Amino acid sequence: MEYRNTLTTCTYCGCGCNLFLESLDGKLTGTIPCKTFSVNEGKLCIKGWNGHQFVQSEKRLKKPLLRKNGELTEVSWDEALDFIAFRLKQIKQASGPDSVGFFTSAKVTNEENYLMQKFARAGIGTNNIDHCARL
Amino acid sequence: MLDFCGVERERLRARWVSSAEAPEFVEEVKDFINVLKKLGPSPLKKELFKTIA
Amino acid sequence: MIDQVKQRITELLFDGSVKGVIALTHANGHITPCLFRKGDDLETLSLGDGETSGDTRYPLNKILITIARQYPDDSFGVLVRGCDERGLYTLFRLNQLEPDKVVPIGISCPQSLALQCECKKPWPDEMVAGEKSDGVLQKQVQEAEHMDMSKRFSFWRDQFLKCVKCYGCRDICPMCFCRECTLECEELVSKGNLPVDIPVFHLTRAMHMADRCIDCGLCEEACPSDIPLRLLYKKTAEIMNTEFGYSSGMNKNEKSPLNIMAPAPKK
Repeated sequence: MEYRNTLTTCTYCGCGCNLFLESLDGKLTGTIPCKTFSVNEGKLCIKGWNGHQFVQSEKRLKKPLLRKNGELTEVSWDEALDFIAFRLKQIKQASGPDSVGFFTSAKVTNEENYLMQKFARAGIGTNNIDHCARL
Repeated sequence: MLDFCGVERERLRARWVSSAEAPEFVEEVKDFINVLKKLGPSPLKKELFKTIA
Repeated sequence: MIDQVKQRITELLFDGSVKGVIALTHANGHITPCLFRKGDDLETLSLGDGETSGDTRYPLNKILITIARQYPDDSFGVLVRGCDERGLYTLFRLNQLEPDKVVPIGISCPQSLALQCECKKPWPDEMVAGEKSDGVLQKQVQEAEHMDMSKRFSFWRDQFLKCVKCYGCRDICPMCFCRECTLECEELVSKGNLPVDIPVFHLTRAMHMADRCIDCGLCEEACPSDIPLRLLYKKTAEIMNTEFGYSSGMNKNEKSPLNIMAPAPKK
């Protein structure tokens, strides 16, 4: 049996509230705000209180899905990435780099967002990048 | 609790009336209306609380 | 005081009377709620005293419920202050915990903390360490009642307008365990706007806390808008005491007057 409270930072906004993700035997059971952290002092907003729910949500994708004949079907990562590379090249060729838009997430790490904007700007050649917190 | 928060307790009334007691129900409601008229508009009128988000 | 607690925890874990002890520990520079198991180092044990006594308390009973639900046949120890023990008695009454599966490890609160909390009973019956301080007379409610009706209304209206509907008060409360919460029922509490339904949201919570609130103060500590929630719940507690002579968790086997079918109490 393993009960843990893992100190972490909320992924939602730029405030950086610290909280404990409570887990019992490997499953997330709840969130407890960290009282001794100066940013939030034991308080959280509704998103911070419920961050643990999305992590192990049944609704999260587990495999890449590709629409084939109108139906979303599970495919391998290789097939998915090949398709993405092929189509992006095709679209860039036909309509120019600014016809592609990039939407990332405030929930991913700074490093992942850096990679995405590098791909957008240096890879594709467009400045059309934004993420959910700004929308 | 309403009283504690500044809403007059007379604005809430709980009275059990049987469906066979129509006259009693009417009396109760008439009396309640009079009490409410004397109290005037409630401080909780919807217009006073604008939606902010 | 902390040494006596460490000793008690060691005894309980060593003789196998409990599977684990829920308490607090120093980890990563913070005080963290944790489960001590047999063989764990107790050097890092904390009683929730950060910069001042009791300023870093967590809802340990709530953690006990989470663990006990998965391990219903095992016994666990739990660090308790006066309020936590009131919480345990109430949770026993509400069938959320089994009394013979819980071993409380009680500590008392110093007078300074008791005054801050305006605590009626800043010590648990089952005390392992600490000196009993005096219970504090409940004055905050009386003082709030000095305000006239219109002042009361503007005071509470301004407080409730600050509410961001984070549900922190409910999420941190050790006495809130309902799987379906009234505050999330759309027919009673409207969804999707701020300000929160005034006074429905807060008074509904106060009503639900009437025979449950143990006055631990964690709700007020968790409120990002600094709403004086404790004052509201102290008022419901006062009504329960005046009308029924009932005070949540003060007596181990006392039933709630809200669950008893009986003739109306004579005034």
